[in-house]
Amino acid sequence: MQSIVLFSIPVFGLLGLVVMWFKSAWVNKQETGDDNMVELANYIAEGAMAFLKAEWKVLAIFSVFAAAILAWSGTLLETSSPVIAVSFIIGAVFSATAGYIGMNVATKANVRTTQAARTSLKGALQVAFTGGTVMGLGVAGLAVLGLGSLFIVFYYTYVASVSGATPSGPEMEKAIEVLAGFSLGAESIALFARVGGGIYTKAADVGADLVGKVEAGIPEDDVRNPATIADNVGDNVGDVAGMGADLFGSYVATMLATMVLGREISAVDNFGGLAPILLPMVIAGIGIVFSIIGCSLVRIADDKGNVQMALNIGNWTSVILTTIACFFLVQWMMPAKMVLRGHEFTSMGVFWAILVGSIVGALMSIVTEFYTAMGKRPVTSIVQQSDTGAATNIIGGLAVGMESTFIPTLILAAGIYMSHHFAGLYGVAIAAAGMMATTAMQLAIDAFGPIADNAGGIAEMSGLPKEVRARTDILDAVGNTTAATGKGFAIASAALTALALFAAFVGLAGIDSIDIYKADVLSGLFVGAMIPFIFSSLAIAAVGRAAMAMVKEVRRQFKEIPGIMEYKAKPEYDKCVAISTEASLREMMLPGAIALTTPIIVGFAFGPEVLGGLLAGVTVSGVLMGMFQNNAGGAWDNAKKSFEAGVEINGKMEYKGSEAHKASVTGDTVGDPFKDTSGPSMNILIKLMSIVALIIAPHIAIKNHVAPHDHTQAPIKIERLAEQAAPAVSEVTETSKANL
Amino acid sequence: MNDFVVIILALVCSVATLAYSGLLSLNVLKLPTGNSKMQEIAQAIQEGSNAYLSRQTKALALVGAIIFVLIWATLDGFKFPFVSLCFAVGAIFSAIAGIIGMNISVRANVRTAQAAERGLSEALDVSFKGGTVTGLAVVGLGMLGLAGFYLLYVDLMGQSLNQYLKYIIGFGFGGSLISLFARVGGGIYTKAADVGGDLVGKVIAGLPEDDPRNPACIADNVGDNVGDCAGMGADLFETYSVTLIAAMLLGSMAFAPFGQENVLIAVLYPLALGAAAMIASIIATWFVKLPRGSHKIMGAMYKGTAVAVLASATSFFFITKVFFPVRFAGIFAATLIGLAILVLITVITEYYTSTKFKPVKFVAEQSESGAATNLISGLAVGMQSTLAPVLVICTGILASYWVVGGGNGNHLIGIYGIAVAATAMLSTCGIVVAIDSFGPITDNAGGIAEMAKLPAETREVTDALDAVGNTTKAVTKGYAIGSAGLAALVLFVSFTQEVDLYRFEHLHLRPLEYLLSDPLVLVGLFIGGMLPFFFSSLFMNSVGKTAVKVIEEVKRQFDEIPGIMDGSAKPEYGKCVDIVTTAALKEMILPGLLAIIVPVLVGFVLGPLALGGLLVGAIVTGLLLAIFTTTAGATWDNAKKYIEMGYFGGKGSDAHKAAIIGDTVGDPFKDTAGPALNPMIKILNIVALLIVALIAQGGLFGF
Repeated sequence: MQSIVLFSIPVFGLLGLVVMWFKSAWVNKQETGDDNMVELANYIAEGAMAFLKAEWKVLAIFSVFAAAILAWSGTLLETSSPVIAVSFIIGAVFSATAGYIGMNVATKANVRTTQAARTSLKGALQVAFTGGTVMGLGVAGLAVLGLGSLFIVFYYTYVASVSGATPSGPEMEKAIEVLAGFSLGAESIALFARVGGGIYTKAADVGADLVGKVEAGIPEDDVRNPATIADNVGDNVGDVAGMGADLFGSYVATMLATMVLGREISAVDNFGGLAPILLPMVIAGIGIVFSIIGCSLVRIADDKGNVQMALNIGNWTSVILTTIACFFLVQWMMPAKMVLRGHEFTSMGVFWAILVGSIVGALMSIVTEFYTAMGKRPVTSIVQQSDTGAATNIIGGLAVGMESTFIPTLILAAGIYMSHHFAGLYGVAIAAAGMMATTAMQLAIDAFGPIADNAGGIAEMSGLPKEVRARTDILDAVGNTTAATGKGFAIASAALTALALFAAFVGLAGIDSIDIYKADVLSGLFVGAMIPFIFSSLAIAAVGRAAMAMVKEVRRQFKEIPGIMEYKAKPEYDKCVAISTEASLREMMLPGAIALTTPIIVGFAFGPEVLGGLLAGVTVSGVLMGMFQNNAGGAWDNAKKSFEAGVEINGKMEYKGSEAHKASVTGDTVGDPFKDTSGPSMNILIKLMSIVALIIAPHIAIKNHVAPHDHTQAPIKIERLAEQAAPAVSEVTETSKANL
Repeated sequence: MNDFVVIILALVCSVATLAYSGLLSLNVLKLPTGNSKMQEIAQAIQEGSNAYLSRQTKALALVGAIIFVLIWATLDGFKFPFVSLCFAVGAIFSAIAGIIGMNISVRANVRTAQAAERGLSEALDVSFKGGTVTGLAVVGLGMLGLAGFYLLYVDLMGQSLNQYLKYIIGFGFGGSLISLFARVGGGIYTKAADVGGDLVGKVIAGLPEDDPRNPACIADNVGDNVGDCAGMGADLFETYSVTLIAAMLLGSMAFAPFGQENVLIAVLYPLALGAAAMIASIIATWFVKLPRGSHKIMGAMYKGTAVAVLASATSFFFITKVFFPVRFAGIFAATLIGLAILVLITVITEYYTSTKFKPVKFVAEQSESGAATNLISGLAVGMQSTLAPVLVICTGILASYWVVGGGNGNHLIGIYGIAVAATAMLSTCGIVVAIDSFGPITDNAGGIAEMAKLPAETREVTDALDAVGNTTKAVTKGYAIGSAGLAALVLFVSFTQEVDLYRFEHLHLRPLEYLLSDPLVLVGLFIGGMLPFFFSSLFMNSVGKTAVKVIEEVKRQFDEIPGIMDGSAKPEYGKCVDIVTTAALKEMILPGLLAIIVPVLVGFVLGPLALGGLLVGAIVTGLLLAIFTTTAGATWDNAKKYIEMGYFGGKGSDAHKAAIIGDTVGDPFKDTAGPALNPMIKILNIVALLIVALIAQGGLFGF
């Protein structure tokens, strides 16, 4: 039984990849349109490829360097091995491959979507969404295949080959510690890809908008704008490749966190005690199957079809089917009773925790949509404030972003409390795993947006008739909404995953308590909470600087190359592409280095407890900053979009081109780096720092510790305490607290 | 240790300080008030300010009375109103601190404008004297309350020291409550008027700032007084008193095992530090002088601060010798760490907000490509500016914990070290507030000079002072929030101690552990971390909404009253003043009440563990957001000023227009949201301390 389940996991991954291959072949078969379109598409594909290659060169050097350190550190401990470097490299390569697959299909699907949009919305949706599906299945398939296969290898090498080894023994600890290298590799590539891609896309976008729209008065994606190719390349490297690597990392980290905690569960089951470790991977595996089903349901009948509805049907089908399947899986695999760090829970509890995770994910998406959707109170308030200029528009947007942290935080807090109530810390982790199970579907929905966006760009640049652009605009608008809800979902899962990783870290580091009452832990908390601010600052400033360079270059071209405005001369697109590429590679280093080295420095210099404080600080402020920036950016964007259809301000209709619209363009531009560079990086940041901490945990562990026992269950604790004689007053105030 | 002597000495110091402050204000009032045009404008500002403050005071009196009764009922059990009396006096003193600050400011402004005709050093002299009145009143009132209640309760009514400490929390609560309302109300007032006035005046109609034809200009100048003077005075009063209370409270806990005599010493020590530093501040104010012909205004300010720091350090040396002969080195080192934090925060803030350094120049440069890049870079600089202060504060925490011998078994002594550092840092409050409140006085003087059409040289003098005022304002905010970080930490530890003590004495339960792996603590941490974001959004929204109303009103006046533009008709200033007054009072109620209700709700529903997590979460993100918003705002402001100095195209260029937008966005950041977070964090902590007895046994869902 155990080996059947064990070996079925990579099979699920392979299945996803096979379906992906067929879908990808289908996209390739579609028509590419006229020469002009192909030429533009080639510019975009080349620019994107050039960026990816340049990025890989940098990341390869980093990976080799990091792998060497990991290999060396692996030799220092019994519970680790130099093999961790190998799994790190595999994780990095898989993550980069996931990004590549996405970008490759996106740069092919974009022009084919444009071509399909010449005839019908139905066809355009099908091409764009199939492109997204390829990416979703690629990411999920690679993750499940990689993690599943590596687990089999490590399990048979370190655990099954040793007589008397148990799932909760040191052998398994070693297997999972080595496996953590895979996640570290994936997550560090994800961070660089997200930050680098984010800087690239927004530098190009901001630069193109500022000169093109605001100064020269030419529409977006106009072929005369020298930065327009860079802008479209940016959509691919940032929104597609960056996001693909990001979700690949999240997906793996979530499974890994659950597995680490699952290892600590002492239980008797039909899988040799492996059930709690295998469960997250099996859930992910069946999630792929149901995602494939869900994807096949996304279609519309004709041009009047509701695209958003089609996506919702596909999404909800896969989520509901997965949840139902989880119920039977949990019943079948998990033992009736389990204990984790003194917290007792049942198999039903595990299922309830998964359900809590799904509900939290859904609620977060709904709230995020409320704060960023057109026509709702928050966006309308920004629109109204645009009437008095850019300043009030900005103030309104910042206020909306900050306000939008309120309800999601309460939902998240309730989610943490409930999932912990049902299945202890394992519940928190499995809730996140449940949320992430349909990653393939989520990503398909997310990735179709930038493809449609690009398709629109190509339509505009090659001067296709208006109705083509109208069709791609419909898809693009839906894509904006799905991008916003996807971010709400991502930050919620990241928060739960980070907490699970944090709990896993506490176990591995041998600290049974991190008391915020201590001065040094509190200092760790302060420093940790500061990091998302610094990280955002670096990312935002990088966009500002690169955009400035872009603006200057575009202005120079308009001035020095006569005839651009009259379509007589061609702008030098490659110069702008080069500016974005160089800037993003240069500027992604420092934020990445901060994320990777801070936990190491703090951990070794101040010990695991302070590091724990640091992680908690990063998680809390990272989640808040993520929501603030994502939602402010999304709201500004849609406030601007509201003007396209016309809005009523003080009884007067305002359209594109009005003063109020200009003010809203400024807001949108400020929101660009918020929502596409620093905001989405937050969830990688908090997970990456937790994984780094997890990897170094055995090195900085407090020696001779007793096995971690429960400190999480207040009722148990109080009973335990009540049995003991109360100490003298002076002890209460002085020693007993101090000794904690 | 004879507590009576210490208390009497503290009272003498505070009365002397208040008397000196009074003398100084008489001194200012004797100065000439200029021509009739100036007097007329000053009169209008005075009336607007008084009108707002009296309405605010009335509204707050009502809120205060309700809470007074609530406290009297729950905490005093309708017996002698020990806690509620402290609350009432704290609230009244806080209000008085604001009223004094505002009253001297609206009188010093016109006198500064008059003095500016004679030169820079004369103008600085008048405005700084005005600022000193506020600064000394703030510290004098704080000390008077704390020492006065000690005399009343302990020496006259025979209450025990521990009872006094329980009661005096009410004093801090009263102060914090009023200061939160004053900060929020004043902040909304000043920025709604400022943003509204600027947008219409500068952007739409093309009027210069402070042009008498702008109907919102009086409201704008009133705003400087009610926000930057009255609000700030109340705020710093609260910061000062609450920090001293926190230090005394923690002293009694930390030294409990060493006997009653030591407890008394530890409790009285912060009062002694405060009293001595008050005198040091008075001396320091004599050194803020500008020699004729010199333009180094910031240098003069630094000289004053340096004298205050050195004089305080010297007095701390002797006081510590007397109070702690055994632990002398450690405790004295902690006071020095506190003073060092003050100096470092000042330097860091100046770096980020002064036109002389890279950050402001960077933002100014980014204005060349438009408002969007100006805004992006300003936000980036603001976020980046959290790095150094957080490292300074964390180092300060660890160092002051460590020097007094904190560590295993001596945890509370270590926290007392942090409390001493915070006290030392805040003891120089007198001079810091003096340096701060000279800013709005000169700002107002500039406005009066402009409106009364005084010669350009006069305006140049006030502008030079105003630019320095921008930086000193940012410094004070950094100072207040930095010390709030330390004080709130001490309050949090006091809260956990009180909970444990109560649980032990009344419920016979062991102490609670605030573990990060506990879901309740984590839930609290998330909710607490979210609160500063949520509050900031309320403040920003209020400013945005009210500013739009002001703009509409101004537009209406331009449309309906012909002749405003050519100066033949007078705009209806009163309408604008009325709009912002009503809005500010209305909008300050919700955030103020939320700050009280949220900890009570979390405490009763989720219990003390979640409440502890909430306090820490709010301290952490509150500190960061406050630094972020205040620095970003000041950077935008001075980036605009830098461009006006002639760089990147100078006044009227596109870069300048972009920088104006940044400045306007920064207004509610630096003067509404940022400063209001400071009293908010402390209210949460104080309310938690007050309700300990009611929640120690756990909430509905847990502990």
